[in-house]
Amino acid sequence: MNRPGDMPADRADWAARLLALAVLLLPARRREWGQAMRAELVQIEPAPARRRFALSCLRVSLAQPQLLAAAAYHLVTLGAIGAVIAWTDGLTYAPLRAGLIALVTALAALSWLARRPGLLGPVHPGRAARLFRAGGFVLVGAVTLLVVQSLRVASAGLAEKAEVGVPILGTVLVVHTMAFAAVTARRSPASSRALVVGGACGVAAALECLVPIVLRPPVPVSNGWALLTIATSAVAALLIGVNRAGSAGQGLIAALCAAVVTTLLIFAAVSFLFEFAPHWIPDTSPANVAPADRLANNRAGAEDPYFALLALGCLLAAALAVVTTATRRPLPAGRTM
Amino acid sequence: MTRRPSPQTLAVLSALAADPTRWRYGYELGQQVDLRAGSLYPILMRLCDRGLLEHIWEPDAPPGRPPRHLYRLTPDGLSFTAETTAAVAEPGSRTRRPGRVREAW
Repeated sequence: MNRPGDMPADRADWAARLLALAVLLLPARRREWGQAMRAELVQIEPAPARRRFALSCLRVSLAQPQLLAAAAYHLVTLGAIGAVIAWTDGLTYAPLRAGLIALVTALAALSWLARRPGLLGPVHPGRAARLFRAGGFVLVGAVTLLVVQSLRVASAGLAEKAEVGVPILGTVLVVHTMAFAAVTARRSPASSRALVVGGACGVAAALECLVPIVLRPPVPVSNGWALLTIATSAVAALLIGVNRAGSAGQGLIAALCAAVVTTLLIFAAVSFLFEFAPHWIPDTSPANVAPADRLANNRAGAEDPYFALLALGCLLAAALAVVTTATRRPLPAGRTM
Repeated sequence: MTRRPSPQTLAVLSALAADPTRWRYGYELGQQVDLRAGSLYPILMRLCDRGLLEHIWEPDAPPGRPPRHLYRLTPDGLSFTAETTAAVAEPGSRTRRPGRVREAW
């Protein structure tokens, strides 16, 4: 007896090649349907009918949501790299421009890696994991955008920014991306509930911190209030996580998720205000600083506590990545990855 | 399935329900209900996913030719077809213009 997939004693014509492509584009769980289409094509004799059938099958493949999502992802990734190349065109200091392009390319490569089977991927099929990962990646993308915007218009200390600033910020963003990918990977130990609790506590705490800042400028000179908010979000997520998800491990993951989300959200929002709303920059310069230099001086002073916050977030993200990869679930029997 | 099926899906279900014990080939079924593969296969996939349709590989394919998929309704599929056909036949039920690919989804 012939077995399914014994392919095929068919003509190697245009229709057969087109259908082979259509089958290749089908997601793995639909491959059997592709074999069924190929077996049907063997039965069809007239060339126009064969072409119509193959074209119609190609339409089935192209309309699969997975293929559309993959195409959109690649488009966005390539678009981001293209955008940073175009956007930094005016940067005269070549090493800084190269560093920014390398940073965006590294993040794009990492997000690609997070779609492949391995430590970081693919994403868990649950809605909570997909949402948490998408939200985390968007947040990292937003911070990257602010970093590129800030550095592309910089006029002083370009060498230092290229040699120190970009590598450090790049590392911080890569670690955050890895943490968001690892905690939402298919084999991650994080339960959907832990991710929901962590994400919700993180967003709520960030709002608690940011709403007063937005309503009553300027941004505080000290990061004490932000640190308190981060600690609160972590403790709240820990308690809710242990209570709802039922184990200390899930509580810890929820707490780390909450702290990472809060930290990154606060940093992104404050950086946005510093970049686009000078009114929110606190005036901390001594009286003898010239009016023309005050804004830059104020901004430099105001940013420092929030960069410290980002460094803390990086440590928390590293802890999250380590915890989730060290305790990830075993492979199902019979699978190698 | 909570939504009312499209006219194309209903045509496929009715064709299969006309002789529920007989296994049917996809291409032949498509010709009977006047649907191209691009509309027919998504309907078949969705019906299988929902447990309304079962499929097997052709058991006695001639040598040198790959076996094809054969389809027939499951008991759930038969009940569903009977229910939806009756609902559509009710006076005042909304009908849509057949033949649109988008509606097949």
